[in-house]
Amino acid sequence: MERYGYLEEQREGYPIAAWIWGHRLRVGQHWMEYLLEFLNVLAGFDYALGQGINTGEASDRLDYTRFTRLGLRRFVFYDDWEKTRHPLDDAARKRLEAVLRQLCDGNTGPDKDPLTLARALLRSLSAVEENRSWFAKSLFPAHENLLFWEGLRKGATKFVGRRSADGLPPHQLDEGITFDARNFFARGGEIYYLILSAGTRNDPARRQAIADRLRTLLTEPNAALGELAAIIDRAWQQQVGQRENNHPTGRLGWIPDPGCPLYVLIAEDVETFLQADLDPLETLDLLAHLIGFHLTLHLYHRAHPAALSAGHNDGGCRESCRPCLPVDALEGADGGVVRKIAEVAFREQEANIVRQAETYIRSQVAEWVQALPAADDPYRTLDSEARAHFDLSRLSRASQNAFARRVDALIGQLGPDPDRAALAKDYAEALTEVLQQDFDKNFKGVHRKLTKAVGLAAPRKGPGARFVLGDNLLKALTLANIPPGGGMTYDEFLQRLYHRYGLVVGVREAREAGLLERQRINGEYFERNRAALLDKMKHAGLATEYSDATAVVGGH
Amino acid sequence: MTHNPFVPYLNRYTTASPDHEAAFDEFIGQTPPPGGAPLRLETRTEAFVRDCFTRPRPPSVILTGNAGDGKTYLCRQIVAAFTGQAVVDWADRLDWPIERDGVTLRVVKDVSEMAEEAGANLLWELALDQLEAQPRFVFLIAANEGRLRAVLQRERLEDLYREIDRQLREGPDLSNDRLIVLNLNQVTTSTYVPPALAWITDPARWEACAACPAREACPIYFNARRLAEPSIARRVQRLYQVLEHLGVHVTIRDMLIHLAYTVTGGLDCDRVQGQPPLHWEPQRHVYYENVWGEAADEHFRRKAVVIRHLRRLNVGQTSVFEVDDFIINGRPTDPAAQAEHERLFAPALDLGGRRFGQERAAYLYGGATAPRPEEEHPLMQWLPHCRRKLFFEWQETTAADRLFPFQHLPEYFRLVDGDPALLAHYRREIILGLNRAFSGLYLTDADALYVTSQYAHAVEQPVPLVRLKIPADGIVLQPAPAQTEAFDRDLTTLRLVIYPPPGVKAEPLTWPVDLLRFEYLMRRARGSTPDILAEECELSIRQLKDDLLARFAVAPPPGRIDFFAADRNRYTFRTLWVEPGGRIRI
Repeated sequence: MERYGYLEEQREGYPIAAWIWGHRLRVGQHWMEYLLEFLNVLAGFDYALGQGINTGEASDRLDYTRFTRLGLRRFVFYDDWEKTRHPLDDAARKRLEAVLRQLCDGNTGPDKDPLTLARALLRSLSAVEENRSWFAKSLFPAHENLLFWEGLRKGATKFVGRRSADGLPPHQLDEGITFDARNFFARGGEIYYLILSAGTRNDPARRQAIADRLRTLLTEPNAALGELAAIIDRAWQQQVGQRENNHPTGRLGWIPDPGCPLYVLIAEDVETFLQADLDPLETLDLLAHLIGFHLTLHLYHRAHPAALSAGHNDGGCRESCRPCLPVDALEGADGGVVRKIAEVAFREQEANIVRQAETYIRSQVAEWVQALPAADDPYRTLDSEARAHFDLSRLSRASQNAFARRVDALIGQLGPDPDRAALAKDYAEALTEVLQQDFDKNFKGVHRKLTKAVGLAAPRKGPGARFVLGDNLLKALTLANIPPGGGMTYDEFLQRLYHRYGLVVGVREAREAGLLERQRINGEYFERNRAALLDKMKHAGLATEYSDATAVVGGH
Repeated sequence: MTHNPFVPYLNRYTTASPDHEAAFDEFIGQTPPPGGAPLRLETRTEAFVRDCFTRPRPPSVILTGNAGDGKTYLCRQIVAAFTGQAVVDWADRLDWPIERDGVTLRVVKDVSEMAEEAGANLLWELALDQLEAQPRFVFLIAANEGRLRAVLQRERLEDLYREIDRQLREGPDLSNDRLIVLNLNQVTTSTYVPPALAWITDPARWEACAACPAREACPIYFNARRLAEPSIARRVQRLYQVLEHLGVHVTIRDMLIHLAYTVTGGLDCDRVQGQPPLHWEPQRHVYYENVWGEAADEHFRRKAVVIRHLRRLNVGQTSVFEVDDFIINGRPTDPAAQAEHERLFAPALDLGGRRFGQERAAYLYGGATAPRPEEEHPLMQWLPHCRRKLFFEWQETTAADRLFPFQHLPEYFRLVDGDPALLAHYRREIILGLNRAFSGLYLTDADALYVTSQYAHAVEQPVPLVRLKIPADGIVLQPAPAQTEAFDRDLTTLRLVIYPPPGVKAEPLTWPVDLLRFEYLMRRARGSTPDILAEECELSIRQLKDDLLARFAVAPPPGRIDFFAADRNRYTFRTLWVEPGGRIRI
């Protein structure tokens, strides 16, 4: 399998999820953080796609800069209600405030204090709705000066000492804060960067257009806000005495099969979407929804039962690996028929993901068993292969011991010279058992979390998830498929949604996808579904219906 | 058993009967009903188009509109005027050329009936003919807007498309002597309600009822007599007007279905005569229940467009104190009003004879407890019925209008009439409503319109950034009369004209304010929650915000940030300056 990205020399083994979907996607990453990480990486490469690659033709830059902006972050987030206090940070904050006060004019009382106002202004852009420590919070990037990487003060939550901060020079106050913890910026944004780079490998004009448009979006509007953030951060940098080129750097992960046409499709969508002329904050918000949607498609595409055997380099996988995603737009108005179908489809996609992991293990083990030389001890060879490929040493002691015990039992059962087929099957089972836990804990939830957050699945909380199309996602998809000034009829739009993404709304698409036969229902339900979605789009201003019942999406 | 032949004639109009389509062909063909002349609605459109075609060099005319707006009817009338004879059979002629004085009139009564090829060819001919100095053909084409646009775009007839699009958006260009496009969707059908009702209730048609034994117990006869009164006909027209202000276009066909149903209620002479007198409730088929389709089955209610829209207005289901008080107590302090009460609530067919009077007396003098304690008092079931009766028959129309679910309806109509002081006053309220709708905050400033933007998923106190500030003097609320000599359109709506802020050179933006938007903004301004009417209006408001930004926004002076900050008990407008030297000031 061809991989695209940055491959570390020392490391050969990765968990199952990485082999199938790329290194890596993890459940701890909040949906907005995919956008934040992606923009951080892009800005870190100075707005150039296709950098950071060392597979195949190496690119000019291999490292991207990680912006630290500690001064800005402490100023905005560190306050009296902070949950992870540390005396070093207390001292740093006080010092920063004193310096900033000298830069302000017009302190005439608490309600007109420029610093309080500036803080309120910046804090309203806090991006993630979770109660985290100050170094793990992020700001919505109204300007590139608000982009920074996730930090971590080692041992801060367990801090019990009485360390005094008096008399310490400012740069020592920053010591102990590292920028390579991957709790929240868990490489999901890097995957998206790689997807866009792979999708524009053969189209440099598109690559340039996307990068330029994002650069404009992050630098031109809200320039004053960016300047404000820069002043605050610069004030702290001057105290610390740090030079610009001491920033920490990072390297990318990797994705499989860079020639896959899904990546080209994603790049097309992004280019069309960025041509829309909306308020910049809204554009970025909708882009976050679109990113979540694209990553979900990536999950489904490679979890499709035909995905492992299909060659992803010839374009055939667009047809053969297209998921079937019936969307419920009626919300129960028809007695819940379409809702049930949408629920079943959601569960089916989840099951596909889990099954794909098992299939992958089985096929790998079968390959190894096939390639076993006749003379050697088969168990030891298999063991070394498995260890290398799946990096078993990263698992906990307990899991490794359990795996060793399973293999011993297997040896006892099958004997020293076992039948190949039985060996493959049983060994794969043992391997699956040991890798399952890590998979379930760190990867299985990504699908649910992403779909619920961007509006592809409802309800947000609670059981019984089904596919829907939320308002923001609908708007993002419309903008990604219809360039400004363009328009198409509603039926063409639905066909496009089906052929590109597998979303089934009306009767025609349901018939094409084979849903009507499989579920044995009357096509009329999908007719009503189609009408309900059109109503929704009309209310949202995305479609107009003319007097003879022809409806047009976009087009002005 | 005597029957009035007019009743089955009316019933054929309602979709409740299988002869439905035949009724409309007859209307178009103007066959006379039993007892008199056919219904002839004199429309201004007809006069205008006929006038056009009497000129020596007539322009080509394109008619667009929904099914039932009268396109085919108009074509027939025009052909009749052009040839001098009534049109008898038109079924197989899609494109009918008629010669007169060297000019050939080509009449196409429905572009959708033609094959795609033929339709495209027709439009090519029209386009080419437009370019010639001496037109040989004059076209009269009836088409549906969506189909027309689709074919024009597919065939890439760009000049023709542009002209047609322009006239559809801005209104017909009457001075154009080559092509006029009339969009019958713009016709206000409420103008035709009084003449249609007058024709239906013409006493000549109801003479046959004189000999009927069931005449005094017949709801149809009752309805026909009541609807003949001009004040009641005006109230029916009022209903249609409110629908128009809500942006609903009712076609002539739908209006005829609805009015026919209002009179007959789906009943016919046989059923009325066959009813035993004590066991049925004729008051369920009285006209003010038929208007809302109360006695109809689910299927008819969904099919009849007007009933569907009117039911959403939900008149009579909720209690309004003045109205209920008047029903139950009358107004003993005011002798004129008391006399009115007695006139309205005297025993009659629509009140179940004496039944209402008895229940009311029982309630007033016997107490509010019902005879069966687990149910509510029987008078309560009469209340919705009586509210609807008062809606049509009460002389105090302003009080009766309170039955509409719009709190600000009377103000809206007063503004539409154009009182200048009122317009200036309400302008401020609308600006306040818009400020609150744009920012999502409870702002209190109405001196300027602020167009804001903020992060949609903010978790902390939101601080919206102000992108545009338009002073209130640059915003004008004015009535927008939309009369034209080409068709009957008596609909004056309101519109907001927003002029560019000082220093910006751009065209002013016009935003129509219909009844729904007015209601939404006024409620916001007076403090209600944003979810009321949000589904209908919120996105058009977001569209306005995008349009304002696109048209008026300029790059702000460098280093300036405008925003609304929370300040103890309200939001104040603040500016933060970021100086080039790295200083921050207020």
